[in-house]
This record gives sequence, structure tokens and C-alpha cells, in this order.
Amino acid sequence: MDINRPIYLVLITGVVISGVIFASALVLHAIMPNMIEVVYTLALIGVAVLILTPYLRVVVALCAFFINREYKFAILSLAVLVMMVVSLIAGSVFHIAP
Amino acid sequence: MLEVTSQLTFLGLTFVAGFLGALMGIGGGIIIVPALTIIFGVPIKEAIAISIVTVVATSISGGSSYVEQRITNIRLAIFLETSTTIGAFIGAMLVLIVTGNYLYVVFALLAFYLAVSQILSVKREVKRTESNDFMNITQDRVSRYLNLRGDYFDAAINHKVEYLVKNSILGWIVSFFAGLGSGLLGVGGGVFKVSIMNIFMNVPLKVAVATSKFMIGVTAATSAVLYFVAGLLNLDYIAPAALGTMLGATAGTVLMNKIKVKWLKVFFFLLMCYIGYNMLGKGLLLTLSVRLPFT
Repeated sequence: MDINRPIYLVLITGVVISGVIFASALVLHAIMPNMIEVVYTLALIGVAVLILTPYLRVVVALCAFFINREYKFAILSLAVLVMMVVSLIAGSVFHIAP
Repeated sequence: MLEVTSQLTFLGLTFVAGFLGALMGIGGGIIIVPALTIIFGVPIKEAIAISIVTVVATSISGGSSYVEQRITNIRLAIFLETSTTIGAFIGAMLVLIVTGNYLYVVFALLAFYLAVSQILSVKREVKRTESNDFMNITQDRVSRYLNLRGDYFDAAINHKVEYLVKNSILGWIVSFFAGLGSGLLGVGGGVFKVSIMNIFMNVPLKVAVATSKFMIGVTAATSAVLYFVAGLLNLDYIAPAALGTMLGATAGTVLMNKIKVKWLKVFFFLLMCYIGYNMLGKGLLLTLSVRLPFT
């Protein structure tokens, strides 16, 4: 399997979904300025999709390398994923948000 | 919420940041943070939080485009991500204990060194790109073990460029410190990655740009979640900022492969000088209270 393909698909899906959400937030704000709560909610959802995408990208890479039997890279992907989760947990425990 | 006109201005501004970021393989925080604080009067902490989200946005939009163009070296990216994520984590933890002020000076010197290396390697890189000479090296054991190599089609000179990666261990260690620096100081994620791959690891500049663009999303996403959970994201700016950088990054990736390597190298030289000078200014101000002009 060509690993470029699944990784590209994850990234582009994240881009399109969050892009559409951000664009609708902007348009909605322009045409209906009093629906500010909806605009903020859309922006929040857009950010959530956005920052979830790199996590998903690492998970997909891990699976793709595993299916490809490129175990060295599957292990490296797993290490990256572990570090991302560890940083996330440590960050929320120690309140690292400078 | 911002008015529609200022949102559009902001969208245009982040478009430029996204565009330049995609061209150079960097996040673009060095453009967005000053723009937000100086032009829009956003407090620095909020500006950093917004800029982190835009880094994720440009990394996945620019990154996806480079993956589609088959310039990105995904295996090399994952190999180096293991050390940058560890470095970034340790850096972020160290912030709680020590101050990283003197590190600004260290990274400034590294930036100047890489700036000079970029400008000195222009001729050689152009020649090697044109004569497809990146294969003519001996790989170290780790690079060989991981079979780190690749090729891409250079649209500026219309032929395929193949390369072997070397000095993987050195690259891994320097990436660790780049991650440490970005965790401690919150700057220089992408710009150091590009130069490390290009100068130390025998990776053609365009591949280094694409691979760095792909990589920076990983560390930025982790910081972004923390800001998100802590409720530090100013939602007034997020939608135009993210959309602007995404569109800009997409435009930048279309152009990058068409630019001659020579010019990209010159851009890098200027960028590294600018970053080096800024970091030196910050470092001297924080450690010795000396203020350099224009910082």
C-alpha cells in the first residue's frame, strides 16, 4: 500500500471539514450578526476538528505502516502517538498553557 | 465579535502568513503574533494561542498538498517527530522549573550559523539538484537500517531528484534540541527543522520544506489542545485566522515547487537572520538588559 494515500486523505478531510465550518461561521456572522452564540459554537467545533487531525494522522500512519509490515515505522509512529498523549496529559495536569 | 471589515483584513493578513509559511515550511507564528499584538491590539498570550491554532491549520492544509505532490518524506518525518515531541515535552516541563532566557542567545547563534550555511550552500545545492547528485553519499548505519531515502519531481527544473538521507543520529539529536527550544521558548519549530534536514541530513531543500510543514502539526496540535481545554482561545479571531492561513498555505504549496532552489535558499538566509537577530535581542534584553536596535 502507498502510505501517502491514507495520510493525504486524513489531512485533506480535516482541512475541508474545518474549512467549511470556519467559512460558515464567517458568513453567518456577516449576514446575521445577532447569532453570535452559534458563530462561537461553529468556531469551537472547527478548532476541535482542526486539532484532532494531526492525532488522527499519526494513528492512520501507525495502521498503514502496520498493514504494510513496516514494523520499524509502525513502532516509531506509536512512539510519537505516546509522546503526544503523554504531553497532553502532563499539560493538563501541570496546566502548561503559557 | 470583530466587524466584518476587520475580519476580512485579518483574513488577508493570515493568508499572507499562511502563504509564506507554506513556502518556507514554517508555522508562520513569527508573522501572526506581531500582527495580532501590534495591529489588532490582542494581548500576547491570546495572540500566541491563536497563532498555535493557525500553525495546526497551515500544517494540515500545506502538509496535505505536499503529500499529494509527493514531495514530503513521511518516513523521515515520523523518525524526526519521535525526537522533537520528546524535546518539546521536556522543554514544556522545564519551563515550570527554569527560565529559558539564556537559551534565546544559544538559538540565535544556531540561527545565524544556519543562515550562513544556507547562503554558502546555494551554489552546491543548485548544482546537485540539477545534476541529481544527492545519491552520491555514504549513508550512516541508522539511515541505512531505516532505508531513509526518497525522490521528488522538481517543477522548476523539470526533472526528478533522488536523495539518500545521512547523519540520522545527528539529525535526531539536533531535532531534539529544536523541540526543546520550541517547548521552552515557544518559537522556531519549523525553521530549525528545515535547516537541520537540509544542512545536516542531505535532504534537498524542497523536501525539507514539505517534510517540516508536515511535521509541525504534531507538536502544535498538542499545545493547541492545552489552550483549547484551558479556554484560552479567543473565538473572535479563530475562524478568519484559521481560514486565512489554510487558503494561504494552499496557495503557497502550489507555488513552492515552481520556485528555483536558489531563491528559496536566499529567502531562508534572510528569514534565519531575522529570527536570529530577534532571538538575540530578546535574549540580551532578558539576561543582560541590553536592548538591541529594532527589537
